[in-house]
Amino acid sequence: MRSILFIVLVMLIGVPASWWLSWLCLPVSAGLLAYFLRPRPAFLCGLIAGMLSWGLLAAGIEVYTEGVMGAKIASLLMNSDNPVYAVGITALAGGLACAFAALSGKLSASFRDHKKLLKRRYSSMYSNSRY
Amino acid sequence: MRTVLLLLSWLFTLLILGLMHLGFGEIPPLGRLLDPVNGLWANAETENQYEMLRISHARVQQPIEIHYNERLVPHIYAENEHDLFFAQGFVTARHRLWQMDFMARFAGGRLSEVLGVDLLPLDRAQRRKGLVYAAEQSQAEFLKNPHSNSVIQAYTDGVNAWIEQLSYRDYPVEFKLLNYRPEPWTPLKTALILKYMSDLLTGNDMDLEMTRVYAALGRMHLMHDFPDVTDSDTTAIVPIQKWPMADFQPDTGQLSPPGNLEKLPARVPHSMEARGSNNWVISAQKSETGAPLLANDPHLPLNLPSIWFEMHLQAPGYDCYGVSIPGTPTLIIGFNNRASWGLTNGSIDVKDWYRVNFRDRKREEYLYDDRWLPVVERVETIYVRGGKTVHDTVRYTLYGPVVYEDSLVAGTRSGLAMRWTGHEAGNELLTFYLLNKMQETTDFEEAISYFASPAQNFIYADVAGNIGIVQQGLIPLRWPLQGKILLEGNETQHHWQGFWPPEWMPRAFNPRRGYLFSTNQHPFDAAYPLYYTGRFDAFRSRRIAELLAYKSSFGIEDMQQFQLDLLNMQARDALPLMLEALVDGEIQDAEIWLDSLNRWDYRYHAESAVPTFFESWFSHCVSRLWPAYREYGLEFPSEEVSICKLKAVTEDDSVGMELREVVRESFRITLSLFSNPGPDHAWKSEKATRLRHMARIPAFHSPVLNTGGCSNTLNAITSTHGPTWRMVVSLEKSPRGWGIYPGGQSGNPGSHYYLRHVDDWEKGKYYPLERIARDAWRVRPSAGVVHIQPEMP
Repeated sequence: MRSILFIVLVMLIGVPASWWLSWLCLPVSAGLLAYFLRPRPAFLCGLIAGMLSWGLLAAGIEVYTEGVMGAKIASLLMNSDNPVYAVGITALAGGLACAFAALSGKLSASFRDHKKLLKRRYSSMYSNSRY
Repeated sequence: MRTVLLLLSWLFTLLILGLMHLGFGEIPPLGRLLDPVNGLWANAETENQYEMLRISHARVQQPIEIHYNERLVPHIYAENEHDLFFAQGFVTARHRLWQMDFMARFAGGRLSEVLGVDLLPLDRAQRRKGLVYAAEQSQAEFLKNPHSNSVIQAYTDGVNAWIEQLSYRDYPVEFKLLNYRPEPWTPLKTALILKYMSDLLTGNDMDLEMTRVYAALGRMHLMHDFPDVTDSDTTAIVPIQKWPMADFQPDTGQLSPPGNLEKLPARVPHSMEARGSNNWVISAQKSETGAPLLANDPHLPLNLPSIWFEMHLQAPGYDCYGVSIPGTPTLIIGFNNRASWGLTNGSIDVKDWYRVNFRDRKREEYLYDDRWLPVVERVETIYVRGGKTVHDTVRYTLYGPVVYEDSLVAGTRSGLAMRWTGHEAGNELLTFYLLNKMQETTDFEEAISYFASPAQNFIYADVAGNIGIVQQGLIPLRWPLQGKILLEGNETQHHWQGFWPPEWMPRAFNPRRGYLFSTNQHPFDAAYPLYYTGRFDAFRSRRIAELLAYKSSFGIEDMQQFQLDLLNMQARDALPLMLEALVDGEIQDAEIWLDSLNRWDYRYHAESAVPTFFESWFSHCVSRLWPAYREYGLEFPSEEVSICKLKAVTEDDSVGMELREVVRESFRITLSLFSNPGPDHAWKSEKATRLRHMARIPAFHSPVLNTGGCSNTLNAITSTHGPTWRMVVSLEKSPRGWGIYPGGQSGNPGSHYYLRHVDDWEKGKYYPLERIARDAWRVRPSAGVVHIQPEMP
């Protein structure tokens, strides 16, 4: 459930933020949301969120503009004129950026938890030795 | 362990995001490019992308309206000329901004600034040619004249008004791909683009090769094989007449080829592939519409975006339709409510080379008439993306810049200086501004008088029934052979003796025969008293002369058919001679091809294999006819001269026998390369014409086109060049026009208008060119509207 919420929120926050700021808002939002929501597994959830965000957008643009750009992007990047490849590589790029960001966000959260746990242990050890 | 994992994860994430954002070396910034919100996908457009745009700007004086027709041709309506050119700049930048930037950078030698060190040799060559210097001279002229000053300033403001409001998302796709941003437009960039055109159209630059031929074989040989005018020039631009300078004799110098030729560069880079053009006019008496007809089709590189941007400009006293060059205000070819004009390139050589001898290795002084004159040094600073800034010192002499120094053998202390009319001050912008507004012949003559370089054949027709043609531009006054070969720069007598005065220029108005034409052919017959060097083969001129003399009256469709004509006079001249040589020769298994060649109508149809066979055969023939010229850096003299030589195949002497054997041997070789006259050898496949993106990005090229023609047909389509704007105008009471260019109005590869015209151009169709009144848009369908308002104080 948390993972689905994570994916939906990345799409709802990351994509509009990219409009106003930079494309980096997408992986940044994936990283921050992973930090707070801790989706499982984080890498896969990030990958899906990024792929859906950019893949659906690219496919939507391709359909809306009657296929004017996809073949050219495919030709530019992959020496093919199949627009599906262009949508695919776009989705993959978005997915990878979000996947690594989500993984880092989640690991940061785990690291923070672990530090808290250690702190609690040390403090309890300290209090035990005192009394 | 956790810490290490976390650090590794962040390191990898930052590395991936950094690479995707900034790119590295050859790896493009994929994140920025593929981001569907701001990257390449954001440049994909729907057909109704341009429905409505409202902006206001402080530099606009009164409201401006722009309506796009169904092909995205803007019709601009302004209340004054300042606003008209502001809007022209604005709307051109909207659709062609990257092209403008690229052309200005190309001309100004600034490509390595954005594309890296690979482009440095090109940039250096442009700087050494003095293109920036030339543009600065032009800019000074533009700004000196109140009309051209006002036009160029308003246009610059309009372009910058578009640039100012752009975000990364709106950048043309090439800026994103090549990872740089647009910079403000300046009048100098406009001047640079005009110089780019001037340089593109300057040809007949074979001085070094001609010098080697002269030195090795002598003057007679040079003039025979590389003539400037021949007795077969029966289709001169201007009819035979009495010339005012019949008794004039220029100072004649002692001409001798310079010594030490082995120390010259092997060749000076130049290319003139099919940069010809056609234009002609028919008088009202010979026109089926009862009004003069004017046709023009300039043959230029087939690039994308197209060199032309079509539009209609309307303001009080201004109502003109035609094509502009993006980056340049006004219209270059077109028609208004009273008159029409068109251009072809003059064949005159306007670029000469001089060897200058420096005093010492410092190269601060050069010898001129037994005196040492100081050079003027100009340091060109070339910024290189990802590399060191390069400073190149170009030395200017009385002739012009010393273009080649380091390509000479070290220690010779000499260089090649270039004298080019493009370096002379001229106000071409004023010419086009006045042509756009002209109402009668005197306006036409005044307008073209400001044009400097290179000389163009301006053709003219008006609603009063006048037709005319003038070759206009600076033509150096030279003595025979001067400028055809390299000259020593240390002799005063080798200097140009000034320029032809206006009354000497080739001109003709309202001839009795009822038509005038130019296809870059020699402007005069052999009896003309002055020396005119530089020529194009006369195949196209002979063909149009034949077509125009064929009927007593012509309609619009005739004009269009002539522009699409595929008959090659070169084949018509050469093939019978070549077939004659085969008679009695022992040629086996050639019946199918011989039959096809005998039945051929000399037309270069796209699907036919016969032109492919003929071209191969002819090319093998001429390479055997002129084996000696390769060592002088030449393939062979012109095709016309080659055909003259082939005429001896009918002789019974040893020369005739030898020629017949050359033709037969060439035929055997060609036969071994071709199987049968089927689709495998179709001319269109051999030629593989396609429109190429200016930055040579294959994804943005057009597909290979199904086109016939060659450089010698009126429809002069080669693999890389062709008719870039076909226009026919009937000068009726309210002139009507038809036209088309290969490409589309939008320079954005993600637009439906990018290749919009290509299919129709390929099929030989024309679009009506309509000067639509502003009110008519209330009932006409429009692809979009722009309203530009003055900013409220």
